[in-house]
Amino acid sequence: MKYAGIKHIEFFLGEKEISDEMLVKENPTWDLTVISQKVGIKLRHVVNPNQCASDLAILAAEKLFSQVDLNRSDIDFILFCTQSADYFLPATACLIQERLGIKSCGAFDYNIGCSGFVYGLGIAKGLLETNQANNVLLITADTYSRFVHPKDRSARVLFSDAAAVALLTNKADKMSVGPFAYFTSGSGANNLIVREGAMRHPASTESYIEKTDPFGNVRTGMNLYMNGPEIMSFALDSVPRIFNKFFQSNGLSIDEIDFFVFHQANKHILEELRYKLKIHPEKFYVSSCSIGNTVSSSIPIALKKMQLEGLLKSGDKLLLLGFGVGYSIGMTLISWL
Amino acid sequence: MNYDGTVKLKDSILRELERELAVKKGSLDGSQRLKDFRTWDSLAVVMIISMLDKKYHIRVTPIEIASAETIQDLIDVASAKLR
Repeated sequence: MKYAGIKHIEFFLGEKEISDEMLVKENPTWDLTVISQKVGIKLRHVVNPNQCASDLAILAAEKLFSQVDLNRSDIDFILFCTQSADYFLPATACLIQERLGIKSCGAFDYNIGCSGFVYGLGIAKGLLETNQANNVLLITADTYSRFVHPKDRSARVLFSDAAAVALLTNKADKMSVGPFAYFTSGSGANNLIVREGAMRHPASTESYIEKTDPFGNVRTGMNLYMNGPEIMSFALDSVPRIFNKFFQSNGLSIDEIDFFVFHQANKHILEELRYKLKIHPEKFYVSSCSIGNTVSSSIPIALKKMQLEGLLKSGDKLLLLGFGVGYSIGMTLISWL
Repeated sequence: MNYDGTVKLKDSILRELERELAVKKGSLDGSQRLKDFRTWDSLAVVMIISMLDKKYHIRVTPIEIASAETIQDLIDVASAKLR
């Protein structure tokens, strides 16, 4: 039997760069000196107003095709993780298949956010190891900037737009992806949400009324709402529980892991989790301050960065953990091929 | 929790708030209203939650923090969890 493995990763960031200075110039009352230090983000990358997550996905995928020795007609499945679809329907994955010039293949979207890369690895493994596919393109892409109100400091300092694409094949001689653990708690849905504009609350004139929260952040119902303190509480409560259970139930020890690559939410939350989970700082990857929180793409971008920085060698065991919007958590173990 | 523990907790919260609210060390005594500080924001709430979790292993919820009018209210909420 052959096993699923990640063969190659590429990513593409939104081309417009937003520095702290630019944000302060636009909002003179904002003092970002302390904030950006704590969250560890000084530069964000966003799309142009009419650019979609799929546009970034195409750019990332073309980059990948230029780097790998694979005919695009050999791709037999496209998994597209996004919360910023082009349309309500059809699935953006179908549009991507057409634009990439890939012959008829399986293709669908799934919507989950920060845990999306891990979920995608789970689906890809299922497809590859049951011979439903030989080459899977796992694409993650989100453009949260298009949901964020320009005067919502809490979200604007954090998020970047990006796409990442991973090519997975079924050529590995031993298990390289898995085991997995998944966790969901929809009780936290209201703490990270775009409330209006879809079917539950279709857009109306009231959807565009601006409201200011107690901390001075401005939003409408069509904008992203993020309750940072609640997300922090969720992470501190749930991530250690799921993490420890994963290690116990799979008979694993933290010492066996070469690197821990979590969703790159922000430096503060990562540092708190690292401390709580007793992970050595040298084994715990934290992105540079010039990337931002790229939601579903943060883990594959971190992996690619680590590869480019020469941190990874063949056979390294990496623990991936995505957590956030939903609430949702996905974690798995991969062996670097 | 004994008297010393409560005093230590109060001191930790005041020091953390001084950092978060960007005010002079020793300038807070608990009587100040949180909302009067322009620097009182959701990140400050996050930092308080993390500090209490890390240092005292107690979990104060965002709703409990939101219900605190003054710094002393916040100290009381956290002290009650120590007991």
